[in-house]
Amino acid sequence: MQPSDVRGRPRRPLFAGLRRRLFRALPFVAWTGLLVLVLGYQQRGQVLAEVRGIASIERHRITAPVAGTLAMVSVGDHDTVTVGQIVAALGDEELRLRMSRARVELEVLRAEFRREEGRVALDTAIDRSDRAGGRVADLRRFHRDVESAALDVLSTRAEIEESAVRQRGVGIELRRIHELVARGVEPPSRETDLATEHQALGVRIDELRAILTTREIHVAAARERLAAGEVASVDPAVDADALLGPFRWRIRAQEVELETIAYLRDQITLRAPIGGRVEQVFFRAGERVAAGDVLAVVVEERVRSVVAYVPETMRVVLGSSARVEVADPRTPTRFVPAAVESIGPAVAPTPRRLWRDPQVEEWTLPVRLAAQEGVVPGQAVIVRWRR
Amino acid sequence: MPTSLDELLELLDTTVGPMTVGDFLLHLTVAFLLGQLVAWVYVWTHRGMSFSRSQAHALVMLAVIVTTVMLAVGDNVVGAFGVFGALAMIRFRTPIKDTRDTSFLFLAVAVGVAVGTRNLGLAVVGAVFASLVAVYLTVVRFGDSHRHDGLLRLRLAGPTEPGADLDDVLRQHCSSFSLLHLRDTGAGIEREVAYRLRLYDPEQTAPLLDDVRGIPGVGTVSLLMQHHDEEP
Repeated sequence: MQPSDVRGRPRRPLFAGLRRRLFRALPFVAWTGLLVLVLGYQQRGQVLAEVRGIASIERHRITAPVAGTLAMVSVGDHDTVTVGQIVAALGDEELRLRMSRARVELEVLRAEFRREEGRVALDTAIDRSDRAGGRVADLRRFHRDVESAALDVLSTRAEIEESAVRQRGVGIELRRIHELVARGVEPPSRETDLATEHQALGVRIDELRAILTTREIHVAAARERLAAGEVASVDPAVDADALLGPFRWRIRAQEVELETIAYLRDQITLRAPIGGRVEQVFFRAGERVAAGDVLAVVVEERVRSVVAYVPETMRVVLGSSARVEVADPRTPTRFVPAAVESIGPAVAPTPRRLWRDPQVEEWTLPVRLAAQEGVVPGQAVIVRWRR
Repeated sequence: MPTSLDELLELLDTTVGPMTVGDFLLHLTVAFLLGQLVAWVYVWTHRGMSFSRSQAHALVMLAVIVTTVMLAVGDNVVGAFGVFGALAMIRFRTPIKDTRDTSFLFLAVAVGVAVGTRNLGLAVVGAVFASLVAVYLTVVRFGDSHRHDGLLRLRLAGPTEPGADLDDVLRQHCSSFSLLHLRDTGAGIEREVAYRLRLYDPEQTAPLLDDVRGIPGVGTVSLLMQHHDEEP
C-alpha cells in the first residue's frame, strides 16, 4: 500500500526525480566550482609584473704583459678552457736582450760607484791635511798676538810706574823748594818750574793709563781669538753619503729593473684566468703584440646573475613582498624562484634588444637577480613578480 | 580571499606580459563562466513564447570564441582589421539558420586567426576548450526550455470528470502536470483530455500508462514524449 498524505492521497515518492534534480543542478555546481578554482588560482599567484631580463656575461680579457712576438696560440674561437690552461705564449728573445742589457748597465753603474767612492776618499784625505797645516799657523799667530799685546801692557804699566815715581820725586822737591821759596832762599820760578813738571807728569800718567786700558782690551781680544782658533782646530767630518747617495740609488733602480724583467719572463706564458669558453682570439702565432694588447676574451660559462629591466610604472612591485621567478623563454611555463640581489640606483637606458619597438628607446630600472642553472650567458629571460 | 570588490577585480587583473598556456586557460575559463552567467540570465528573464536553446549555447560559446580571437590578435591593429574583414565576409556570405552554427563558424575563424598569428598553443587550447564547452552544454542540456516532458491524451468515456484518481496517478509519476486541453465530443458520450506532464523519470512511461489505463472510465490513452534534442 502506498503511503498517503493527510487527506488520504498518495504521497510523492521520497527520492522521485532526485537524479533529475541532481542533473539539473550539475551546471550550477560546475560553474561554482570553476569560479572557486579561478579565484583560488589567482589568489595563489597573481602575476603582478612580467618583464624581460638578460643573463649577465662575465668576460675576462687576456692581455699581453709585454711587447713581443707570439710564439704560440693554443686556443681558437669558441674553444672551452679551464682555469690555468695555457692560452698563448710570447717569445722571450726581447726579454733576454733586455735582461742582458740591464745587467751590463748595472755593472757599469757599480764601476762608476767604486770609482767615485775612491775619488771621494782621496779628496777627503787631502782636504783634511790642508786644513791641519793652516790651522797651526793660525794658532801661532794668535799666540804672538797675545804675547805682543801683553808686552805692550807691561811696558805701559812700567812707564806709568816710572812716571808715578818721578812725579812723587818732583812732588817732594816741590815741597822743599816751596819751603825755601817761602824763606826766600830760592826764587819762585824754581817752584813754578817744579809745579809745571809735576803737572806734566800727572798728565803723562793719565795718558799712559788710557793707553794701558786700550792695550788690555787688545790683550783680551787676542786671547779670545786664540781660544776660538783652538776650538776650530777640530777637523769637520767629510759627507761621503751625500756624495755617493745618487750612485747607490741608480744602482738600486737598475736592480729593480732586472727583477722586473725576470718577473715578466715568468709572465710570458699566458694562462686562462677562468674556466669558460673563448669568445674570440684576436692574434695568431707569429704576430707582434704591444704591451696591453688584448689577445683573447674568455666568457665564463656559469651565469652569475640576471639583470631584469623593470619599467618605471612597475617599480611598485620591487618594494612589495612579491615572489620573483625566472623562466627561459624556450620553456615559458617553467618558472624557477629567484632572489633579488640589488636594485639599480637610477633609471637607465634599456638594452636595444629588449625594446618593444626598435624605433623607440626605453628607459628602465635594472634589477639584479641571482642566476639559475641552465641559463646561457647573454640570453634573454622572463622575470615575473607574483603575489 | 578578496574582501572587497576592488580587491576582487584586482585579483582578476592579468594585464601583464606574454601569456602562457595556463594564462590562456585562465582567460577562457573566465570567459566561459561569464558567458554562462549571461546565458542563465537570458534564460531566466526570457518572457517570450519560447527561447532558442541554440541561442543560449551561442551566448556561452561566443564568449569563449571571441576571447580566443582577441588573445590571438592582441595589440595587432592589422590583425584586428583582418579578423573583422574575415568575419564580416563569412557572416554575410554564408546562410546560417542557427545561431549555434554561427558560433561554430566563428570558432573555425578563431582557430585560423590563432594559427595565422603563430599562437599555436592558443589555437590548440582555444579549439579544445570551445569544443569541450559545446559538448558540456549539450550534455547538461543547458538552455533546454522544456518544462514538460510530454503530452498525455486520453479519452474519458461518459461525462465523468477525470477526478481525483487521475490526479493521484499523475502526482505519483509526475513532478508537475497541467491540464492543457479538455474537449467534449458532444452529447456527453466521451471527452478528450490532454495534460502536459513533467515526469520524475522520463524513461519510466509504462508504469504511468498502466496506472492511467487502470482508472475507471479512461478509454484510449496516448503519451507523446518530447525529445530534448529537438528544438520546441
